[in-house]
Amino acid sequence: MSEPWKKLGRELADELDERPGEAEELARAKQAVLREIARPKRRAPVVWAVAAAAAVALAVGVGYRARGGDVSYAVVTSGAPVAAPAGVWLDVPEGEERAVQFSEGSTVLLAATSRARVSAVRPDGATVTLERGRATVSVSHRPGASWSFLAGPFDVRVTGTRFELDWDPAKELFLLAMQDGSVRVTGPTLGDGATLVAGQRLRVSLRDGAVPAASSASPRPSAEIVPLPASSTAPSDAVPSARRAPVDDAPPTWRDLAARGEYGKAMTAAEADGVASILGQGSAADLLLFADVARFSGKPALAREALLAVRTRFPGSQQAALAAFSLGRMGGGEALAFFERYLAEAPNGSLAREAMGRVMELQQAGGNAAGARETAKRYLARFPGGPHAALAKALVGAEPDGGAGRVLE
Amino acid sequence: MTPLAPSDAAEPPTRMGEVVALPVRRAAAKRTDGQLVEAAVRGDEAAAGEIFDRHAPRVRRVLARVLGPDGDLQDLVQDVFVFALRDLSKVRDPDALGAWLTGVAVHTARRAIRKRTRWRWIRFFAPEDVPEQPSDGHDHDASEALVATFRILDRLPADERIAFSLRFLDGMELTEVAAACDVSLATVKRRLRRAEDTFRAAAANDPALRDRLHTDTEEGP
Repeated sequence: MSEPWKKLGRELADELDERPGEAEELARAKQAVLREIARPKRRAPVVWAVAAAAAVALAVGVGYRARGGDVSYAVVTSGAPVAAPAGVWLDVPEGEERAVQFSEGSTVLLAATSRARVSAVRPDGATVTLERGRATVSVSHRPGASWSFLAGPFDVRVTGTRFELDWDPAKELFLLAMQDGSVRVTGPTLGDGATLVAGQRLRVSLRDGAVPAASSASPRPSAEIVPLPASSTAPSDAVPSARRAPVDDAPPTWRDLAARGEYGKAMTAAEADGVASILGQGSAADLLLFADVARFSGKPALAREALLAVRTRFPGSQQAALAAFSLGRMGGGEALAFFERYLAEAPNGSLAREAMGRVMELQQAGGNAAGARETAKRYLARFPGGPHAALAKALVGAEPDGGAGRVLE
Repeated sequence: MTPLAPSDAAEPPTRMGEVVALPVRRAAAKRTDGQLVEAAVRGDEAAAGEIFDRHAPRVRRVLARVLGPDGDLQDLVQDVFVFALRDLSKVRDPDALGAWLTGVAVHTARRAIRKRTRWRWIRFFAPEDVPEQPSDGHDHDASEALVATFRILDRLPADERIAFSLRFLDGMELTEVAAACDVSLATVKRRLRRAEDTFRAAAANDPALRDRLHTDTEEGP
């Protein structure tokens, strides 16, 4: 290896090693490892929600540990740790997320604008009430574990599993998508309850019995359980037969394929469905997902079209702001305007730090030294330790008449 | 398995959100890796803890150097050791435990890279979309170079990225990289060559790296 490469490699390795909190991080990891290997094997040791929550926890230096007795928990955000005693409502602001990390490893990731609380904690689990919004849940599989998730009139009983839970009180719409394990759901229209297993999705609309799914079954049922991918291993007796939708042989949709990361196949399936239909009638989430599919299958122009469709069809929404950020990331002459648009629409959004950094970079690149300095000041005030802090400091320190190129002393 | 060590159980309660540094228990007499593996396979939790204490810092470094500063390192370190401690009986050479754990760490990192690509919407640095910064003629600090480096590494296929990271950032010998990746030396050389070509071309356009590498004249890693 030549000397410049060796030197840079060493510098970068040193930079990586300087990350603070390693000892505490390893101590927590050791405790978790010893706890885990003392248990029977579970199917999915780490899921993305846990990883995301742990990453956030690391970023803010939040620690937690079991103390015996009831499970404990901490709420972590991208800003500051929040201690939340049992019973306190958690209102997730627009453009942000909240992760509730339990001491025994379970995680509840609350999406933007959700409202939820941990209404009870016990030695064997907890009860979480989702008043509105979306929760991505990962419950550690432990012998005797008992967890309950309340969403409106529905009760989801869990021992160890992963799933996404949505409750929209305005529309009285309940959605549950299983990723792993099984749950037992009770509530209106479900009779004695329904058991869902990995790969199934339950939708219940209490308002008028309508199911806002692609199903064209008539008359429309008030509750429907459908398998997610065609390869679902759901046992046939897992749900009451009267409510099982007749779609067992359906091929995977482009959404299913996208969720698996098979973007090329997803694009083929989407084209078969009709791209115009997706762009004109798809939900905001569908459009964002479709843009993802388009980008990763090598069709950036189509991705851009989908993102612009989000902005024109869902103005003012969180997804529209996210689309603006994504459009900015795609570069081109409008990148700066899109990043600024994101900041205007989601000033406290989870991508605000990055968007502001990009604005600063693009202003500097475009020769707008004064604008870049102003952005740099705002950046340092909000994100003094952010990834663009060095550039911001240099910009602020540069002479006003020094030109855009003179930034680093 | 034996219960948790008394020192852990006797810890005073802590407040939620408080960072807690747990005491690291040391064995009275240092055992070899082979002895620790043998004891841990028998269910000796203290031996399992000692294996963690001895090898976790190295495992963490390998993960950090492959995945970068934003990796979910604590979770991944846990993954490595949960898997490893449950499968210790499969270790062919217990005295080479460190190398085996490095291999497990590399495997875990590869899985993490592949999983990341499915969630690119929420990543801050999209590989192909990041606009290039103009050259400003000034030195950039190491943190910028680090960000730039991993921005480029994000574009590489997982296997090439891993080989390059272990060689370039971790300073491993080629034979060590091959062992960690469980492939032949020739395969590692091929991966490194491809990775280096990509990295060199991208670094030449990145002001945070260009001047440091003199990429137009120097040989690669």
